[in-house]
Amino acid sequence: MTDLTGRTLLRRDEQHRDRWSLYGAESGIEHLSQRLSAGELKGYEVFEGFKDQVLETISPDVSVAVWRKGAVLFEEGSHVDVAFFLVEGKAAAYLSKYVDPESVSAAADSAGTENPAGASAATVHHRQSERGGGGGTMLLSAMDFDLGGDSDVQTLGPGEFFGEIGALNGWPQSVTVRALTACRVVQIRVPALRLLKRRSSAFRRKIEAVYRERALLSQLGACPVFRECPRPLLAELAQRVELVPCDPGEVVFEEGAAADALYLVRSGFLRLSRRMGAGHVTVTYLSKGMTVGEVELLVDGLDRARFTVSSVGYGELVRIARSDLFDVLRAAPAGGRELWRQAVDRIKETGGRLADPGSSEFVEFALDKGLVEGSSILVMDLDRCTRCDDCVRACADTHGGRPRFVREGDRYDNLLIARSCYHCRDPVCLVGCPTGAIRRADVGDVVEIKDEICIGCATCHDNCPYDAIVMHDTGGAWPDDALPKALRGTPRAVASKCDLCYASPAGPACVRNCPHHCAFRVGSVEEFRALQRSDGR
Amino acid sequence: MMRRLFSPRTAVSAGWWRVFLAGAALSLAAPLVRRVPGVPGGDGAWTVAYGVAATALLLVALAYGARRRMPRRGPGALHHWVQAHVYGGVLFLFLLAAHTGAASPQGALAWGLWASSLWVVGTGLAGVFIQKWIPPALTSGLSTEVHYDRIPDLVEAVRKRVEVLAASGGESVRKFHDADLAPVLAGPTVSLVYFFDVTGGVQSCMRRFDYLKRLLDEDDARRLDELRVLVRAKFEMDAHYTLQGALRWWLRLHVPPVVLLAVLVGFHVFAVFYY
Repeated sequence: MTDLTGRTLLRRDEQHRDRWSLYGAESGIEHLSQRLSAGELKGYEVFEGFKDQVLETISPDVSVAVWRKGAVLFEEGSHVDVAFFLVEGKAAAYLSKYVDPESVSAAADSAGTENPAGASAATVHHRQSERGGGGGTMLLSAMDFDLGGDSDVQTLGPGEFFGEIGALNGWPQSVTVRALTACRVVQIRVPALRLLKRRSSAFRRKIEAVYRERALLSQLGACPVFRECPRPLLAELAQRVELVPCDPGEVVFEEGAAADALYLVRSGFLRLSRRMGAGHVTVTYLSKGMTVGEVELLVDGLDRARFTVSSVGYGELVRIARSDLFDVLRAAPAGGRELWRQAVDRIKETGGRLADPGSSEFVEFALDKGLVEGSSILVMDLDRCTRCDDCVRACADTHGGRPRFVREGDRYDNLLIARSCYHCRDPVCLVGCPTGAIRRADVGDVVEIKDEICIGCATCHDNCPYDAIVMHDTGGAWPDDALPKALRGTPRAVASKCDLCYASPAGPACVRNCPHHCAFRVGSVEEFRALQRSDGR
Repeated sequence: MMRRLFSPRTAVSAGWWRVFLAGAALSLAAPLVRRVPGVPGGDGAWTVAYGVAATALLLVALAYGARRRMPRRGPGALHHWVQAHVYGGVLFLFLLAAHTGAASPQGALAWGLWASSLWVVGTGLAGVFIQKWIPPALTSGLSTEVHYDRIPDLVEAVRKRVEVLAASGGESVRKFHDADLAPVLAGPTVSLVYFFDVTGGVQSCMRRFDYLKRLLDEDDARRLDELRVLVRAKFEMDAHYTLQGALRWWLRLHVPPVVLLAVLVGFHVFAVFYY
């Protein structure tokens, strides 16, 4: 630290401000710290026990902010790649659909009340159950934060984490958080959060404990199988289940392995396949909120897994042991009926796939090419495309002469999946960016790269499974006081990718400027299938 | 039959097609209506009205080119402008016929206007036809998708790879390469055969590979299989080069005469007002 010159220190501060600029503009931040040293970070409870080296590594991704009274730290539905740790002050977490934000503002004015919105007649969880309706798949990301107790507002105090579940899982935030008093908050960006989780089992347990306390109960309660389960029993279950993280391609269990648990998908996608001949047939895939393992648990005599289950990308599962599941089903028989319904659907689907293995080709393609992952994939109907490249020219014109996609890629029948950002629901490109240049644009699932912060390290380019991030040489070189030092004097490159033209009210230029109406943005496998030729040539 | 006429499956927008049918019906019916006793306006007024309408449609059709050059700020989606361009262009011809009373042109300017109008609309319709026909042919007949501008480089890359592969093989493979493959791989080839068969008779070319393979040892047979894949890719690139080339080249037959037509119409309008 001491060997840095004054100019370099200034540049480091400037970079730190750039990295946190998103949280400065038009926000309620009164003060944002400069980059903190390891020693300074150790002064905060959340970083106790970490080595200096780890803290030095994460320091660019950590800031301490003072939010003024009444400021909104984040709103429900927004993507925030930061976790917040409250050091001083009080904040309120609430769902604006149930709580009048004005009442929370008023509560902020008379801060100090434990329950600013006053006692409510029903808990959020109960209201959600009333709204719930019938079965079907509930997307966990769309579910409510468990505010606990009988309140529509949860008061957060010193020593509490918030925002970390959405940040780590790439989910939109499920609540709005507003400062009830002036709040001093440690803000930790996702790369640092992941590193801290990896380096300290105590930290990981702490995060998991918060997850179990705030989100898991709601998620289990919203799952059709557990909807009728008494809340105390569900709370007990939430403490007993195992949280299982998965890496891309990791096999959760093999076909023929002992079947002793039900798995609920928290995030990511799972591939279910069966052995057939010399290979494997992909039967189906599971997304957030879906379960696997029910057939083996319910059908007598089936004590071995009928599928090989593997993770498509990074994912998180909830593993519910057989005995725990049956305890719950005894108390809530309706859950058993729902589980049987799902099991019958799975058996039918498996039978269909095995009778016609060719029908699994599309499922395989959709999983391999990430169709299930993307929220806005650029697809071109080659039956109409005259290869005029007006789409590419329009993209280049909109982005300073540098097109953000290539009209090449994988083909399925008449459809071309252009090499353009998919705007993944769980964007792995965000992981490991050393500067935070790649981030959620806070417009839907849009991920953008800030040119001015990008140091051209190509981490996002290497991480992108779909080859959708391109490195461009700017023609310049890094200045002598650039940080990290390794950059100095080297050619300056920047990563670039599609930003969905989110700043333009007219929408993506590629789609708008296709003269033959053959460029589409699709957000689901169903939309993709709808574009396929009807004759199936 | 009537339902299909008014809601054609091949048109991108049935709405535009209906507007076109209505416009065509009006412009064809108008010469009859004007002859009905009691309909106001003399011959001169009707003629001027047709001329003004035809000029307006020509401007609409020309505006497509301007919109195409404004990808960032241009109003509306470009595919709507294409519809206006195509249908407006054809209606322009109908109105031109009504404007001239479908009489034989008199004088150089009239001949020039008629000839350029017919040429522009004819090449435009030819363009619509090949744009409907070539893309599905490329998609359903070929397994590769390739950028037109990159084809020469890709063919060169294939040629080099084939050369290296053949040089590492036995005498039979080398001779086969020199006699049969090298000329084919010299560069991208434009061939009319792709207009009739998008695979370009690649199957018959592959028979030579099958025959030769029987005479080779295991290593050379494997090399020959690799060569077969590369040569097949080259044939597919030739098909793309020919057909994507046609999609680009027809514009050269269409766009320059449009400029001539616009100049002639401008001169005609100027002459009418000036004299």
